Amino acid sequence: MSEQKPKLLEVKDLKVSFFTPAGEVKAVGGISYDLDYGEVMGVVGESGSGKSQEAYAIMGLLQQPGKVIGGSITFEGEDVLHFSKEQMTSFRGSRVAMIFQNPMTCLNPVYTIGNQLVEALRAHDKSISAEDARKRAMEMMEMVGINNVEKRMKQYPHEFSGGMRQRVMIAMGLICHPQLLIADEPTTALDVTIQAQILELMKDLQKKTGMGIIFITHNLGVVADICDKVSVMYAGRIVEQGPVDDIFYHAAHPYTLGLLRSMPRVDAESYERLIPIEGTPVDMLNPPEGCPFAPRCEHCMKICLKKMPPYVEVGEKHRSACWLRVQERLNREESADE
Amino acid sequence: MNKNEKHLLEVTSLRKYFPVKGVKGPGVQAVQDVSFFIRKGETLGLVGESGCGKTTLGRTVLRLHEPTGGRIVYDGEVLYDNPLGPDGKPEGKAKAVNMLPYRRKMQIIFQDPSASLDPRMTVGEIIGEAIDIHKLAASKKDRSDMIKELLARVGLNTEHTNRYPHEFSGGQQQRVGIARALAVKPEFIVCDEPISALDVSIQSQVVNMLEDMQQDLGLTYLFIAHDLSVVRHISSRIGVMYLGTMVELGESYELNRHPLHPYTQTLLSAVPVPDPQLSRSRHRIVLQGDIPSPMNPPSGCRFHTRCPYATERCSQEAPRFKEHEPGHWAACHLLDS
Repeated sequence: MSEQKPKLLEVKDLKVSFFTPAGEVKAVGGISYDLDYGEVMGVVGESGSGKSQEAYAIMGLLQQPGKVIGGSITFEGEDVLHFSKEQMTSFRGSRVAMIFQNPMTCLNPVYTIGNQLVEALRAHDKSISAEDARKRAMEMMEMVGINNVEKRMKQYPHEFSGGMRQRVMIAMGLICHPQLLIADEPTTALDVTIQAQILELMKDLQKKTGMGIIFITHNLGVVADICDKVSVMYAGRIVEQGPVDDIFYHAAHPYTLGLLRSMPRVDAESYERLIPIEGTPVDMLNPPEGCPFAPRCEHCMKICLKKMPPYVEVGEKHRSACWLRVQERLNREESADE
Repeated sequence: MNKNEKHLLEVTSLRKYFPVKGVKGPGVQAVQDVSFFIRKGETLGLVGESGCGKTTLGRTVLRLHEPTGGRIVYDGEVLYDNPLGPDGKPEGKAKAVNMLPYRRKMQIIFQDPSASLDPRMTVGEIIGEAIDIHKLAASKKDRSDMIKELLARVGLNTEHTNRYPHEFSGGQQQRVGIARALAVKPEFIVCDEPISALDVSIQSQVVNMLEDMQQDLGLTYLFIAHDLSVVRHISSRIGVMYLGTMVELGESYELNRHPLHPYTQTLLSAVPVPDPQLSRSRHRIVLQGDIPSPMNPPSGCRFHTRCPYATERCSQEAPRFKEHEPGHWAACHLLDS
């Protein structure tokens, strides 16, 4: 065990804040997780939960006035946060790639698809010849299931449908064989039948390349479909984290449970009234003291409103930040003592 | 007329084309001869992918878009009538009534609340405008009481009448949109993707509210959404649309258990289920290709280019929309044999 290979990605106590005129917004308030080669981690959360900002921090793409103010990001043993500008540029794209929700805004409308794919490749591999680059681009397009590659290479983004554009984005992301792909709501803008196509494609490519994937989404159905493990985020914190089965069948945080209960299921046998999570999402400018979910939580106790709960291991690699679980743990220890 | 009495809305062969400049032919064939009815007090769900014409259908029913042909009957009264001859062209001049009295009875809730509320009007003005147009308030006090009652009805603070839409969260804005629709005491509401723009935890709040309102006020809904699980939850019956045509319509649980049309089967299998073990074992039908353009739809059955079971006949002849089991309609040649 002495020669332990470093994990693909380790994030420790990452904090991201936005310094706005109205005050500091703690978009990400100290999150930790790790991801190994070939793993798919889902990041679930509502808008404003910090799930995208956390990914932008890894990519070094935080927009002003956002800043990483604490913690560390280690990629294959290297400290990402202390990369120089040049190191970051070569890291981004060749070792970690990102695809976004809306492919139309990520593709340049005045360049052909072929042009943009070749550019992505040659930006990182200066020695590759134009002809080889073109071949690689065409291979990639075939790999993501685009037919008629010769013709498609010469077309512009507007000539592609939404699903096809997302395929192009995936091809572009994977063209330099990154070890990590960050997918930020890649199927949210797509129709369900197209979403199914893209999910199948991503699973397939993941198996072929063995890369790790961080899959950011708000759709629990998609998570159940593609992810090995899940981090549930609420108001900038990971409130629960664990293997996908544990999260869905043994959820240990009231927010996760609430999300699961509030969704109608297409396979439900009979009508059941939905149980919503009451209240409104957190105002990140004035987050509540203590557990951010406390004001909406049906099990809220006094302590929840005062102090942020610590993580409690509730199963193997499954942890939850909730005072209920802390209390359970204490009760169990007490009865064991007796 | 007797048998139609319980049908609040009846739509027959409704058609809506959007002409396109510089292009010969009918233009975008957004809704192609769709027929259905809605019973009083029920919710008819409408699902389909983007571009299938479900929103256009919803708006055409309210005549927010003027139909190209077909017939709309609301509560026994003809709102629009323009029967199409055998050649598919309208036979005579369309019969169309003044919609203003019907606007009070038929309302709509839009998808994006931030786009459908005037940012320069306060919430009180937005809701009050509808009351003024239809002269529903006897006095100023009456009017402000009505506005407060509506806000309370949708779960908003009654003190917030002087606030502007941007001061509310997305979920609250949608509640304002719903209060605006309720202001004229309608009987029938078209809900056009009312929860798609909302956060997951807020969606179920709005769904429950719509259900409560239906119970209390005896409303009838046409509920349009692309999320099959939500539509299945809220609707008594569901219509499935593909590229401007209605391909299947049936009781919502029946449709779920026994989808007749291959497209409905695909759609059901493509919806991700929040259950990891089930989704590992589930067989998913993955369709090839994309939705064709409604400007130039495929011949015959519009689904034949993507249908895994398509035959020669499907590409030549459009299947008829028929009742295969009681209350369960579908348009597919496969079901004939």
